[in-house]
Amino acid sequence: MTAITAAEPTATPGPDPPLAEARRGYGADLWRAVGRNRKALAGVILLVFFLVLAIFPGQIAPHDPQAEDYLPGLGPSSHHWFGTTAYGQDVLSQLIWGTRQSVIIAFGVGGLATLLAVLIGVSAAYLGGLADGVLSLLTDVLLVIPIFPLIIVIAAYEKNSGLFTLVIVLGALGWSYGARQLRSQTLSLRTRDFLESARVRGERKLYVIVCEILPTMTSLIVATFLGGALYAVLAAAGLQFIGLGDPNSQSWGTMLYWAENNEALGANMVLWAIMPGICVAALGAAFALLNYAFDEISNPALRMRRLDRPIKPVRDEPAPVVPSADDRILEVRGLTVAYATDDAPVVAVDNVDFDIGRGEFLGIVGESGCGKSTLLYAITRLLGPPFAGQIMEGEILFHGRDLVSLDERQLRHIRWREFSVVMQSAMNALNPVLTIAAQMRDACKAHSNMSAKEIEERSREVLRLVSIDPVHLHSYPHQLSGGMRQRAMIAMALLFTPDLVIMDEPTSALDVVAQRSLMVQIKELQRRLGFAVVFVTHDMSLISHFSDRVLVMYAAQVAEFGDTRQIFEQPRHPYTRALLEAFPSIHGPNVRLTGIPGSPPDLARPPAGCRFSPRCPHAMPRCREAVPPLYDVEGDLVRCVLYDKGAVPEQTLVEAS
Amino acid sequence: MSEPLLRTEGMTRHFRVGKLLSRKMLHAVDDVNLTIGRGEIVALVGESGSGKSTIARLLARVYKPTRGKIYFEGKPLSRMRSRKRRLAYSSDVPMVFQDPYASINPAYRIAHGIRRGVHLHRRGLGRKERAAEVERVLDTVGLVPAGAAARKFPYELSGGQRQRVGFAQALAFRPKLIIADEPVSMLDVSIRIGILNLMSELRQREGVSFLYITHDVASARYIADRVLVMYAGHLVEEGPTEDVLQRPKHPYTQLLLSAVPDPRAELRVADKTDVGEPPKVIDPGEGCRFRARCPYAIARCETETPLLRVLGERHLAACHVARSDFGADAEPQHAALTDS
Repeated sequence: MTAITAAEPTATPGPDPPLAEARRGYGADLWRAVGRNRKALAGVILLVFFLVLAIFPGQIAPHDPQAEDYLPGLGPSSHHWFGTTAYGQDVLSQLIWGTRQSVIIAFGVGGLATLLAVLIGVSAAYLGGLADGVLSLLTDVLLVIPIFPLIIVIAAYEKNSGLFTLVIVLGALGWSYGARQLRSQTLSLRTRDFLESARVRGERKLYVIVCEILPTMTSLIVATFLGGALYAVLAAAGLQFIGLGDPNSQSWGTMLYWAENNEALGANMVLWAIMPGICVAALGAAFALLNYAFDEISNPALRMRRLDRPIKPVRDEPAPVVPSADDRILEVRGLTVAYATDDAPVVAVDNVDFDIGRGEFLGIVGESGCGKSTLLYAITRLLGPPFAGQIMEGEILFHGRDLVSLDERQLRHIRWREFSVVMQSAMNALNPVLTIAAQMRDACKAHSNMSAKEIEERSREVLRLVSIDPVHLHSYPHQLSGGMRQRAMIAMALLFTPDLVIMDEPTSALDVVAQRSLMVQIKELQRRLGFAVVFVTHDMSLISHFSDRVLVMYAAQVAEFGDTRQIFEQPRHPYTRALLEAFPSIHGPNVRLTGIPGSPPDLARPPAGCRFSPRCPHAMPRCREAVPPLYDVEGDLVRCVLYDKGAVPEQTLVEAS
Repeated sequence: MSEPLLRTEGMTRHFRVGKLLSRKMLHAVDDVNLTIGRGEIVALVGESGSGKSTIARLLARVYKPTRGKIYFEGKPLSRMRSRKRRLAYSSDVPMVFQDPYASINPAYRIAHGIRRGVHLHRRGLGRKERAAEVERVLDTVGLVPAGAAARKFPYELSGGQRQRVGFAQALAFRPKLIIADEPVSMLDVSIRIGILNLMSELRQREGVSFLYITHDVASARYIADRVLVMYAGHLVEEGPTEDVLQRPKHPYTQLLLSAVPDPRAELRVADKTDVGEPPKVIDPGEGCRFRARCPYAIARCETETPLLRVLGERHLAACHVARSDFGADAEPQHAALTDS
């Protein structure tokens, strides 16, 4: 359900609706999602159809299914749509009456298996220790035993037994897969803070399991139920077909059994076999469709949507190289990136221009949800799934080639060799089961044809560059400290001595001491090797001593762009000013700060005019009218009407603050 | 001096690490004596892995101490056995967690956690009073209008708003001490100050004490009366905030302060050699745990674990070479270590 997805902070911009806004109902949300999802709609329609048949067979069926009143083996006619059986019963009526048993089995087994799975899976995980050992062993044994032969053996022993026995047998054997999933889900929840919070609050164990854990696993429990129901429909039909059910019962499986006994195919009466087969398949499909749909609704990453306007067509030949006027290695022109959502597309990067010269250090600063990560993914052309973002407009000229028009194969030649990326969390970016050496080897092999010996030598060399002892080449990521992992990531980014290294908050997981040391090291490497750096961060103070120029982003747009020293000494945009004054210092008097009132806007509904105006202390009516352009103030680009020379003298701001 | 609100005596917590039969012990917290007064905000500062969060969980009774005692209002925690006494303690000392995205159950409306807290700890309240209480605490933490906020689901709130919910839940208990474990470190710079101001206001208005756990020294300075500095499971320095920040005694505190990024200060890259490698806390043995990184280490640091010594007005540090404010001192000193 929606609640589950919300638990995971995703890469898409985090919306921040004002509190006063009316909330859509929880159930209404679900119905809307079902209505939108074609699989869900088809599944619901099929299931409702069968449910109606199962509940009112007497009213719907045209004839008595058991009455042998008609000529045997009649073909389809207006009287008997699907003909009659070898005993002269109406096939359609038998099908309709047979629905009831399949539906009972499906819901009975689904319910029983889910109950067992929840009980066993969740308690195993939550209790841990011996209980977990025993219950997991039981689950695993059931998982590896070939279930169907076992069911046949048990059913044969209980031959001609009724519906009840069938439900019990299928249910008792069908819970293991769900239990296993629920157990691992619970294990991952166990350390989540909201459970610890409940324990610290003083809740009892049973309350935590039933009222705190279970509701967060609704989607998995529903999936377990639907999976169990699907399995039950198929298994029951199979058992009855081979004669292990009650031959006098009203069910699709029994119909198949009699069709086989009366040689339906030999007698040219294919409908005897086909019709119950179709019913089994259709009911099974209903559950399967619902299962898929539920997965998609609860996991938006699976729902790939495309925006109408595609990115530029991919050319066959390499893009023409436009010679740069000077030593700019990256020029971003009018870049606009949007995410497809259920509602209107969300523009996460709005007409951004910037450029970076050889060996330059550019800092990109902004709050979470301002589009800085999207910008970075767009530049590296890594916006593929699961990020449903698309470049709508603009150019990304790297050494004069427009990266937007390159295809994946062409990009591979450039990526890593000419520009590389260092991600936010090295623990997530590094593969935990491979040694550092193996990961360096993979990177080298993917982008070059270096020999094993060359790779080994180069790997040692780059590790030494970031002052890691090359013995760590054979360490696994978890054996390194956070700082070392981050430096290993940088070493990997330097394998091919690229011209540009793009870094996405590489220090935010580190302590101040490790953070400072890493910054100094990046700067030192840059000085020695001459690569340019794009450094994305939310902490403006971090880059104050390291970057040449700073780009401040707010709500998908450039708010201010200029020389670092100039921006720190004289921040011009009210947002930049507020950011700089938003955090306390360890020097000077300890003054009370106010921070920035409110929070960044929801990019799906950006405010009219200047996007910072709702939070801005200098806002005036004019700000709400139109998005201000970037004004050039002594080489510093500022998106604020205070710097519109024609209207307001610059003095106003200086006095105001 | 009267009995402080909370006091620990030689509080120690070790964890067994490695395989089933391993004898290796991780010394998460060793021999910590700390006090928190009534209405006081105490900051506990240190790098990740220094044992800050373990202390939070020891005080919140998630873990039991391996050794040592914790006294709350003069009574030892180990004697609180009955469910009633334990509940009473958890309502006196609630905790606010670091990750606002993980600390609220996503399946319930915001009111859920607050209502449960009231239900568990203040049984006497009727339905209407409970609802009023939910609105009161949401209002207190600045989630307005409180009625609308109570009906929201966590995914409808931003990180900063969620963290306010965490404080609202704690407030519903009528607490005496709130343990805040890095409450702002996952929030955006622009909204951090709002949460810090909230903590000061709660102290002012409700008289709550705070143990503010953080790795951000600047934010500790902003709200705390006193600072405790942790390193590798030891308390290495404590004292009034301004004292510790302006005249740090322990070499680790000095390193920590010099690494704080500050655009208003000149960049100092004096000791490039320190790459911020964490210390060994698995079976550490005797000696100062900072000695491998310490520029002033002497032979004695190898063999003898330094204890906290009074080196200034209410200012203590655990260092063999640190110099006292009171002049003549019997301890050996190093000329290079001066107050900065």
